[in-house]
Amino acid sequence: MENTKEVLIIKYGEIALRGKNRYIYENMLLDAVRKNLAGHGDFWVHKEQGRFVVEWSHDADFSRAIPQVTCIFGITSVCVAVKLLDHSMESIQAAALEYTQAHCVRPATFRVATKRANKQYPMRSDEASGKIGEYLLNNLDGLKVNLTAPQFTLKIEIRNFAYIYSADVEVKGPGGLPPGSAGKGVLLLSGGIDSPVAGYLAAKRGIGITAVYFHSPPYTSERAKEKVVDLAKRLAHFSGKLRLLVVPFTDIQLKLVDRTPPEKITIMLKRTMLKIAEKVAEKEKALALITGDSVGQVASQTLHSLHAMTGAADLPILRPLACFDKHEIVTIAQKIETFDISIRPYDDCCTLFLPKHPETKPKLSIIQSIEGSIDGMDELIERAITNAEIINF
Amino acid sequence: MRKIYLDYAATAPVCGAARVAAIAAMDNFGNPSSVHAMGLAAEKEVIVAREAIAHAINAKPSEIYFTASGTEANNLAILGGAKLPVGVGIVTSPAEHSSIKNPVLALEQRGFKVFHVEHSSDGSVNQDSLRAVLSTSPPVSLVSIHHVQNETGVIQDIAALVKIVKDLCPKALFHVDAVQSFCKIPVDVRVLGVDLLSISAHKIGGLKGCGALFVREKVHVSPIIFGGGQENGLRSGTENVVGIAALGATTKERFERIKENFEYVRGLKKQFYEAVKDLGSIEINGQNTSPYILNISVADIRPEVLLNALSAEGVYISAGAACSSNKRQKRDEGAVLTAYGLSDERAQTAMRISFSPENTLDEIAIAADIFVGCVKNLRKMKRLR
Repeated sequence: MENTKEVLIIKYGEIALRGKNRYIYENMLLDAVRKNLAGHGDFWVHKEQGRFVVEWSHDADFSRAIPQVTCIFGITSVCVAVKLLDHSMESIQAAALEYTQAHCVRPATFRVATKRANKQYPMRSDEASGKIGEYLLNNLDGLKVNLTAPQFTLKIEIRNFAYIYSADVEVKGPGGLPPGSAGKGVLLLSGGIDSPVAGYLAAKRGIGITAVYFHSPPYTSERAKEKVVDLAKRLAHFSGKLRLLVVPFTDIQLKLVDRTPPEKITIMLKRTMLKIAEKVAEKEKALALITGDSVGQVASQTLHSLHAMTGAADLPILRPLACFDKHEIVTIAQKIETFDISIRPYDDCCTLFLPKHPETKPKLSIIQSIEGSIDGMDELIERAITNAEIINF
Repeated sequence: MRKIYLDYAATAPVCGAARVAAIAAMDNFGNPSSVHAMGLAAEKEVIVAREAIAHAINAKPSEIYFTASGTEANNLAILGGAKLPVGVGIVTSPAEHSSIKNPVLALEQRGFKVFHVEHSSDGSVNQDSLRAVLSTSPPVSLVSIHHVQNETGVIQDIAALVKIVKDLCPKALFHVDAVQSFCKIPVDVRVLGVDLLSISAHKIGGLKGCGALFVREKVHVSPIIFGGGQENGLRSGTENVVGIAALGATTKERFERIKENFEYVRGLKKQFYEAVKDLGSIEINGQNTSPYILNISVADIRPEVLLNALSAEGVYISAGAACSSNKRQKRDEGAVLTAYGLSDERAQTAMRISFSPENTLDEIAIAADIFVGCVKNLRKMKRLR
């Protein structure tokens, strides 16, 4: 039909409820949508209340475009809709008929749900639904009204233009908050399964990610680093812009291993990593540290061990996985496609130096006194940060 | 940074002769099965290569079947060679490459009975154990034992093993994986007496994606890939003319210089070992080895750490075989040396340095220096071993 066009409607959740600074969040989300759709044809996006509408100048390839946006945090759902330039009742009825013929397998029960965001429109929502429903009943066989549990729900939105779609074509988005809208955090990214998931969950709440990886050549290989680079790249798919710092850690690690009783080495390494992450956070203007710790998963993640991290960093430490079981973490890792990267068989620096009998109940005071006895660590840390390799995604 | 490659048992760069042949073959892009002149021109490339390989192992051209890799040649030999009603028994060594191990495992799952020979601590197959296995097993249809072990370089006395098999089990086929020996040490199928023999192109300067299986005349092997009936029906699929032409060219060149190269590489290996042996606590694994492979255990050093350290200095070697280092299950680590009855400690500290006639004396001297430096450095960090 003339005067109609297929468009993509993107609905967003929580941020639509925000007050005066809503536009800031909307613009962040808009940036993310534009970034992910780049390379998918010539398109433009306009804002409608609580929605973005994406239009293409030529034929759109929706099957490729939709997965590009359903991964963006802040988006609740996405659907292909028919846009009507003219929203007179006659046009809407005609388009509704055509749409129902094409999309509704009859016989079926149905209902029409109209949303009238344009309050100038000379008809209330329920009136409009009634008129459209009646028109469909009069012109199509095999339809029966059911307002409570219909098989087919035809959705009409009357805004600056009118939009028609059905509940069936809506694809769910991940929810959450737009990338970077909550400020920035520094993620301690190892090559394991947990830390990318922790980063993903932090990104879900709008935290922009700077990731830090500790590289200890020759004890960790180039392939172990490559694995982390691939994880960061995958994470950037969800988190928007992401920066990865590959921090050379060998000298620090050797010094710590030399000065620490073997059973305490993992705790000492982790505290030092938090310290470095905090220094990075300062430079990156980040407000929190994020780790993949899950209580009780391994010796260094018992509550005692987490307590022994006290004082290593002043910034809040977010542990999104603290109370997740391993299989729950694995399920998310598989969903976000980091799992297969994480299980590549290259060790990170912690696993290589794992003592035979790590301490499960380290005492903070003892850890702190060992830490105090190691001199020259600040210079080593400064040097490591200065020499870090920076990769932007 | 200067790069010194000492991992030739994993793969080798494409040699000059192979490059020239490959590019020429690209212009002969016809399908060797096509009747027209362009098909014929492509077929000629394949014929020339087949002759070169046959010549190098003293076989007839009609006994050479091209495959897409050494792995495929091994699979074809195992899966196509072991069969009923000759016997349900398969005899092999625990030190085989995974491209032998895994098809054998697949046959075991299909009901074949698998028996392993034992190795002596020098790496050689214990001939008494072969006799014992053959006399007590159900009828054996296939024996598969490597010529040169890919991690240790140990050379098996294939002729002697074949004799034992033919005496005790005349109907059994004898397959030998010659991927690490072809064009490096003498391989004469008549002298060895084998029925099936696998080779690979990229270990000797050919392209990856090309291999061949020798099948002795009148020996029947069943195809494992079906299609247009190329390679006399044994290996369907349009021939990889470019890869085959390159394999032919490198075979010709390497075979002509096989003795000269052997002596030269033996010198390199000796030079390297002499330069590093004073580090102390270094043991050579395997005796009667190919000059192309040196396998040493360096006490107190984790191979992957030394490997990373050397890699950072531009020296590339391998911990065991590259093919087995990306396995997820690490329990297989050092399986070959364990099969030789060597200690876990020795198996877990084993490194493979593999040479080529392309290496210069200078390179070996520098690489050995760097090796010594890295080991000394790592040994300083006693707690990190």
